[in-house]
Amino acid sequence: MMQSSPSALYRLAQVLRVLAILALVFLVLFLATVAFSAVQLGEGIAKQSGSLHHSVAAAIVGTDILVNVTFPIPNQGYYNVRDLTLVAIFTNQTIQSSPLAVTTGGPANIPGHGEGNVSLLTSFDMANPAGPFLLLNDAEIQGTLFLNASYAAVVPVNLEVAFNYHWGAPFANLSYGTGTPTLEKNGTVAIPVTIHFENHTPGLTIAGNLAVVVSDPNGTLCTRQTFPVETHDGPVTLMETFYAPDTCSLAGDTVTSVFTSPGPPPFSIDLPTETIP
Amino acid sequence: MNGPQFSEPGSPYPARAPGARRVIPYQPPGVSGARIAGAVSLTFLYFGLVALLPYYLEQYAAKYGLSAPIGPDFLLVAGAIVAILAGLSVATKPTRAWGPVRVMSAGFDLIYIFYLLQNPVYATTIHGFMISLTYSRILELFLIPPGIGLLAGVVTSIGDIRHPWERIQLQFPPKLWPSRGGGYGQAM
Repeated sequence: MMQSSPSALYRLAQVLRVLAILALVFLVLFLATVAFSAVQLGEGIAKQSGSLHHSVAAAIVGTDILVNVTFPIPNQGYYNVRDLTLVAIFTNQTIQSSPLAVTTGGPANIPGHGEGNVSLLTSFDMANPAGPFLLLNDAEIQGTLFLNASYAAVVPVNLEVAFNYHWGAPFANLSYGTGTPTLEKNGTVAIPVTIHFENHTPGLTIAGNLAVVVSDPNGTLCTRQTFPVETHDGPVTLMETFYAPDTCSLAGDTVTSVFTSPGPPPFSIDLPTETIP
Repeated sequence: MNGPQFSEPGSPYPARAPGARRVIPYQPPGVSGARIAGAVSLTFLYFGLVALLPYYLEQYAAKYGLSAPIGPDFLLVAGAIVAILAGLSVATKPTRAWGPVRVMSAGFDLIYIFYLLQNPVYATTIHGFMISLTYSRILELFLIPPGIGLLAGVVTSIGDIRHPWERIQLQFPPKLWPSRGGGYGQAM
């Protein structure tokens, strides 16, 4: 039976078939451009990986050592990177208080054919056992960066970057040395003490007071002295004169020191005990 | 209408009543050899795109330590089924089986994509960076074409039931021009 016009079912089926084909073609083209752009984005990030250490700044605020790591993220692709968030976990196998820090950054949006900087503020709390360790010892800090973003609005990207960060201690190689004691008129002994340390974090300046307590092997207090300390790049040698009773020889004595920062807020860190040779 | 009219195949009514215009019975084209050849060609083309291309891409990526969540054997088997059903869909287009075959084809595509959605993460390492791409949203978008195709198959099946031969007649109209052997292409 010939009909004057196709039935509604036939027309509906025709429309649906055309829609299905158009949707498939559109998706294939879209996927191809997303894949091409994603490769360009990945190559751009990989090229920037070497410049990670050039964008690190450190400072002390309160009881925290703050390390600001800026990640330049170029986007050479067509599509935007949206809701970029970063989470970084820093650990060190030597220090048993792990993780040292957990920090987040973002969210950030990076337009296509553009570049964005994502800052990651990492805080090392000096109040935990890692604080004194990091003040005195260089450390290889293992960092793991988790990056989450939405690419081209429909592709969630998860990036996990494992890297090592070399931490330079501001009071590295802290050592005490004594000179020849001289008898003072008041019956005390003046002993020149040399305090040496090296600041292995260029640009990190720490000002405060170092309170030094010298005790003999039996634990008897010999002397106590406080003097200002300020770190600067490279080695620092402080020459101080300690006054102690003539019963103290200092050689073989133990030295405990407390670093105090005026803040604000003020804080103090007990440095590990050293022995005078 | 001035043109010739067609009776349905097997119609008890005479094709030409006395005094009426001549009615040419419609002969559905059936599955011709050319159509089967086209269907087979399309099957191989689909197999290359849906099965072989992902298979070799996966093998290529494996050389660089990139592992995909879908096994290569599964890609080949599922791709072969997708290709065969697509070819079958082309072969059966001049028949009333086209609608159900399209439903089967789109249905399998949907099942395949739903299976891929079970583990939609592709992890790789580039220059020490471990990158994982979650392509679930892309796959979800790829549910749209077979979803619409499934709907089209259902509507086509219903249409073929309610209006037998209408679709085939419209998509494969009778040949009314002279054929090479003389006479008209359509039986009179």
